[in-house]
Amino acid sequence: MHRSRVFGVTGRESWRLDACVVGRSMAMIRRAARLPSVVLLDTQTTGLSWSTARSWCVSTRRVVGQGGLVELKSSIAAVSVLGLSNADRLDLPEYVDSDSLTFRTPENRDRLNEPFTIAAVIVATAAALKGLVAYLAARSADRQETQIDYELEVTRQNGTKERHRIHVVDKGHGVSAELAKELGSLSGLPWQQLLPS
Amino acid sequence: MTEDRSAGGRSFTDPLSNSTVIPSFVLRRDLGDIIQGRFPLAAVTPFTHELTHHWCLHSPVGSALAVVHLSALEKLVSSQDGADREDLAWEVFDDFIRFDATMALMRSIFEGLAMFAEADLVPGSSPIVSIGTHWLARAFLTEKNIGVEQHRQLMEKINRSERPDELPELWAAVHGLLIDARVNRNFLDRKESLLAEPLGDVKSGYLAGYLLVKDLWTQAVSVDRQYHDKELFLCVLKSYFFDDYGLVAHILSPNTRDMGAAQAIGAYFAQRLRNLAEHSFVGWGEAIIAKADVRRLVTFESPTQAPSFDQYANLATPETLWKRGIELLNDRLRLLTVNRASGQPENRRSAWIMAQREMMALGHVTAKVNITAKGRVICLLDDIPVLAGPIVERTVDRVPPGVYNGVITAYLFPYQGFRAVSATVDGTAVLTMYSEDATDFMKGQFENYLLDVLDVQEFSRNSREVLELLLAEDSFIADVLTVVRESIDDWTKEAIVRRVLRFVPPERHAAAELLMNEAGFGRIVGSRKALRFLAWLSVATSFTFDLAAVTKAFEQDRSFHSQASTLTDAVGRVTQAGLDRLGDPLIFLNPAEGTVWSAV
Repeated sequence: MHRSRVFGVTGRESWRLDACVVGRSMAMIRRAARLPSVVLLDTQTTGLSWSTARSWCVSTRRVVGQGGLVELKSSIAAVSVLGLSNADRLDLPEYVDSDSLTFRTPENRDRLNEPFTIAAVIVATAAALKGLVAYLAARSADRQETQIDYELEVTRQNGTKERHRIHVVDKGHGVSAELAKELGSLSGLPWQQLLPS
Repeated sequence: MTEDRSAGGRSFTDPLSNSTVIPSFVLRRDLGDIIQGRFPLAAVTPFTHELTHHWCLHSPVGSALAVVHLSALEKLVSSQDGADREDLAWEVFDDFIRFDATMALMRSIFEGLAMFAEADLVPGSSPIVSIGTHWLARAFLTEKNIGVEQHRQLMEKINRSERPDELPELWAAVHGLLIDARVNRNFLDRKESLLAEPLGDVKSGYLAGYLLVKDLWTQAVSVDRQYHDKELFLCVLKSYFFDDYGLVAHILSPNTRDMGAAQAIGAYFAQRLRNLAEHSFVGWGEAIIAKADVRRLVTFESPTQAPSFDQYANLATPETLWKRGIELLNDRLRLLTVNRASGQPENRRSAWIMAQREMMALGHVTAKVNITAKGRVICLLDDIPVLAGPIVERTVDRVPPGVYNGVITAYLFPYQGFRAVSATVDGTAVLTMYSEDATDFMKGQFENYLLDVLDVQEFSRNSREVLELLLAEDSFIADVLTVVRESIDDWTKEAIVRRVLRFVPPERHAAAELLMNEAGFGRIVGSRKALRFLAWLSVATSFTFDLAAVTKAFEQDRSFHSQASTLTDAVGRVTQAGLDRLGDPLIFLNPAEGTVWSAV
């Protein structure tokens, strides 16, 4: 247990929950830990300082209450991974909860498209993005890829969409950390939260 | 900075203009080779897929579809200010629904034929080959992959227009080319993705269409062994659906209106599909061969360029309906020509879009175009000259000397047998180049075409959006359109999905359909690894059913199919899963006869 300027509580962190608490007092942390859908971040494992964590939370407007209770939510609504294969329908649901995942097939109404590419649309919660990182890393390992490229379509909270291309090179330690950083940067979530367990 | 607009993205074919995009042709890299008639090996499978679409659309049915689409557009463009929007919407709707409904009905056939051509086609023993295989031989066999001497000899034979069945060494070389193109990680990814597509996803239609075409192929083979030649089968099936003046007669019928027209088209198409089981392909192969210009290795010439309506074999269409279709299409094409002469820019554009449906865009790239005072055109990519020649005479006065941002586009005329390259500035052709086989007539024709392919595709896309916007203004029309589309999707699910799953025992049907609708054969075979194997076996048995040859390939291809077990074990796992969930083994292994074959 961290004795001062606690950013979370060890042992209670759960990537399946999509909010977090920043707290200074143990009473507040205990209170928050009883709330549903709350993640208690550990400053040691996240590596964030209290001031960095707090200013980051405030700047991304995730303060939902006074007294240090801060909801940690993604700044984006969804991430679509473009250029996936129908075969990804088989394994991706094992990593991302089915409530957070849909597949989108380009319509073939106006023109006759080339087949084989679909998009996976993932609700941008920490849990789902963590699952996505794990899946893309496993996919890359399975395909023995040393570098991976994905085109993402990011849906903002206001519904606007933007395209981003991520390029990650495996420098011998897998691609999870780099992928987590990319998705963390897009979503505003701490990338450490997105690392596979 | 020049930008290669052909790089990245998906291939597609636009059904109105028959214009294609194939990102595997990267002009920045491939322009020189394309001019020399050497197409990149990486493009073999997407090229075959898109050329098959092009071939289907370059047909009586494809022409009729373009005619009604252009007609809808012309009605909209030529309407006067203040015209009653409701009347106009219904007029436009009458044309639009014919196009929209036919495309929706035929989507599975379109995609099924293209997938079959891409994944299964190999040269056979009959005297004709499909247009895709023709161009594999002409443009993808290069000195690099078959050796200088063999390439020279084969090209000499092709240029002497020997019959396909007299060129066994040519087709052996194409066979090798297809093995290289299909037995690799990328193609297995594509095949795996196809097999995992939700079967009921009729808005996509690849898996349903592919299984339908393979099912029809097995039916054809069971009736007549000559259809073991998949080339002949493909030519027959394409002709049955797309060279059918019976369908043309319904698309262009003046006796039906909007929703009634859609219903008539739907009923005819459904009957046509059912009739396949009754007529059973008997005699159709001979009929197609008799009509094909076998000396030139092609199966037909352009219907829009020089209409010659007797060039198609009538495969079980009632004679009166067939003749009616010819008359109606002839009249509508004549009307387009008359309208072109009226001088209205919209009419001229429609006429040219109709005419240039015969050419296929391979790729395009933006470039600096320098026109000198002496009438020379020099095109530069990244400041390096890549094309140069005299300015097209008819455009001298329209584009003065200067440096412009232009577009270089490479074209193939699949049915006339030549290639062309254009450089355009604001849509005006300033430089053209041709392969040696282009006639003067075709050169003159080409320079009249709308040669900025992006402009043509944008026109096509915008025109569809404008038409849909107009139709959406009238809530009743919008509702009718929705109902028609949903009905067609429901019919496709019912008719095509039921047909391809007909081997499933009734008691397992609902469960099987549920699994197939989730991830195609993925949920049937149970794992990604098993799916990968099924995809590999499907590719391997597209070349041979010989068990010894497939077993040898299985050992060689372990890095692609990722199986650690023996072929027999891998087959056993898939067949057991198939029997458990579908009541069908999916793979037929017969060690006694030394054969193995995949039904998917």
